[in-house]
Amino acid sequence: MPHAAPPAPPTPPDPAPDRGPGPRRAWWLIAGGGLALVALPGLLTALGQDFYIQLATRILVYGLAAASLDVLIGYGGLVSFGHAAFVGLGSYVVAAAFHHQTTGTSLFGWTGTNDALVAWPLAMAVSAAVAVPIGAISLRTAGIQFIMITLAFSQMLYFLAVSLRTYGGADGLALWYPSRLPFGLDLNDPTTLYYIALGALALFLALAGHLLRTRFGRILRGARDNDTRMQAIGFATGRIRLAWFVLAAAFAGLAGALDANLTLFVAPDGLAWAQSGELIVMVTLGGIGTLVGPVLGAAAWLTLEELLPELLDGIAAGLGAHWKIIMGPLLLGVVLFARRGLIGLVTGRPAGHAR
Amino acid sequence: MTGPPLLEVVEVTRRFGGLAANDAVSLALDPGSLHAVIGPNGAGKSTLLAQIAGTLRPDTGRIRLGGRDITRLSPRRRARLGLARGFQISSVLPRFSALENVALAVQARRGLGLAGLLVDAARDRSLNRPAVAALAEVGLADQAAVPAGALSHGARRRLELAICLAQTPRLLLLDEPVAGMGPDESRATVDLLARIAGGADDRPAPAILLIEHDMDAVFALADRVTVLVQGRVLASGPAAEVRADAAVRTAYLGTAAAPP
Repeated sequence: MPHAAPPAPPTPPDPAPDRGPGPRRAWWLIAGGGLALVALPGLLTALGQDFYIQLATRILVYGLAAASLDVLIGYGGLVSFGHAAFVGLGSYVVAAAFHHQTTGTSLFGWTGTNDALVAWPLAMAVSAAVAVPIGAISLRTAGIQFIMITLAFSQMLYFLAVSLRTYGGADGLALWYPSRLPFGLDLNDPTTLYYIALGALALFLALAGHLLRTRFGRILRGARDNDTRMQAIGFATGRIRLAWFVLAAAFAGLAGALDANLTLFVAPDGLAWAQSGELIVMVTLGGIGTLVGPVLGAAAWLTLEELLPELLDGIAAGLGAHWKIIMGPLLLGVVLFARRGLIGLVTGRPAGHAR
Repeated sequence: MTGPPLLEVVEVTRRFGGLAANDAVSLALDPGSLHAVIGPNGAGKSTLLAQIAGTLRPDTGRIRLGGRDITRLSPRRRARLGLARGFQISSVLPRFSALENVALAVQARRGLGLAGLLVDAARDRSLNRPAVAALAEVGLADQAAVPAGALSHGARRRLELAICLAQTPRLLLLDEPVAGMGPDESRATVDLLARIAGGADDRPAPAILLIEHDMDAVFALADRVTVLVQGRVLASGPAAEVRADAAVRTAYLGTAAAPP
């Protein structure tokens, strides 16, 4: 180009105004939903359906992972296709710490721990630490390159997990019992884990919702809108994006730590690209750039994944294995007709706004 | 004007393949002056501007701002040194309100601080008050809440000027600020630029380097004019002298100045 033509600002398909994130629009959804979530275990137990507490916990855990990804996709315009690697990494940290403690082995002299207050923050820290170099390199790119490079890094971590014989290689690693909690709390009780996952999700939604409104968050959103302009007024957008990338990875790691306690099992599959793809589907399904929406997306996805096979098997034996035949068109329908995702349907207006 | 120049462009050359878009271009701007760069399409004006702004690196030559060599600095670092830039196509944040666009420029100057993690930026008066003042200066106060993407072409142009003003720059680079405007809007913008060049109580007068095709605007505003033709400086000097220059007339003004 003989002329350094200024790049045209990326015009979003839907130029809805950026109103900043937050619960203003969907406050009743959050208040009502929050109450319902607090009451849910009691309700399920009363109905004799306490099996579903585990499903509900899974929804909260994956809701946390999806919401942390939405920070990057919806507010940063950064479609990370490797987010599950940070979730899986968190799981592996908890499992590895457990493994060393129970087998009496050590890693660099560390004999492991089963204490949640040590293992969970460690899971967050490890995910965050690994996200620093991955983010620093990936964020030098944008668009499709960013998607591909995050995918590549996550696959590297996946193959690393496969190669770690100590931790079960491709077979993964089982935990005999969950992390130990203080104050007499016991994670063997599914309700306890449920409330802890609920607390973690609420904490993240509140923290991210707040930070996205501050100067710190406005830089992330501004760089999504027009990075050239942001740099021209003097912002170090790369550094701010990296900070958000690391923050999102830390909470993905927390989701992983919770997931390890929920399933009492970790395997390399948890880090694989297919898992990252599912997180993106949850974000898209629920509503990109809405924080709360991806939690709905996780709920819809995981519930259908649980119920559809049963339902189909009821119609004809063996049909359940093909549940994705129904799932695909459903997903397509939501994306096409509720372009702002499930939360757009629930709140009755385009919730998107990538606020 | 005495003292060292604010901006010095020294023998800057930039090639694209075999084409020298800028061939040993030199230029100096005094503090507070208004300097126009004119020339036919393809003369290398935007290339020059991009090199001063930092989005393009020169192959050879130096660029100094306030005596400091900025040739290798990123656009971000140059912005921190007091350089503000308007783009050929207005570059704003389409999904943010006009007010937020300008408040971000104020924020860039102020930095993050503890408030950057605690306070709701949209309600931060230390950002919004200077932003409102800058919007008022360009006549956009009544559209503060409108998303930048929904503003008219002219309004978006003025919004970009407000963003630049909020940076309180020492040097303001503008690429065809009146392009695509009707006669009235164009005249209003020229008046606005003259006011900006004059400075204000809370803001020192910036030096302005301007690329413009509209000769009425150029000679109404500029104290000095540089004529670029095929990447080289054909003439440079006080506006009146350049206007009278015979070579400039034949090379450029005679044809381009006539209304199409």
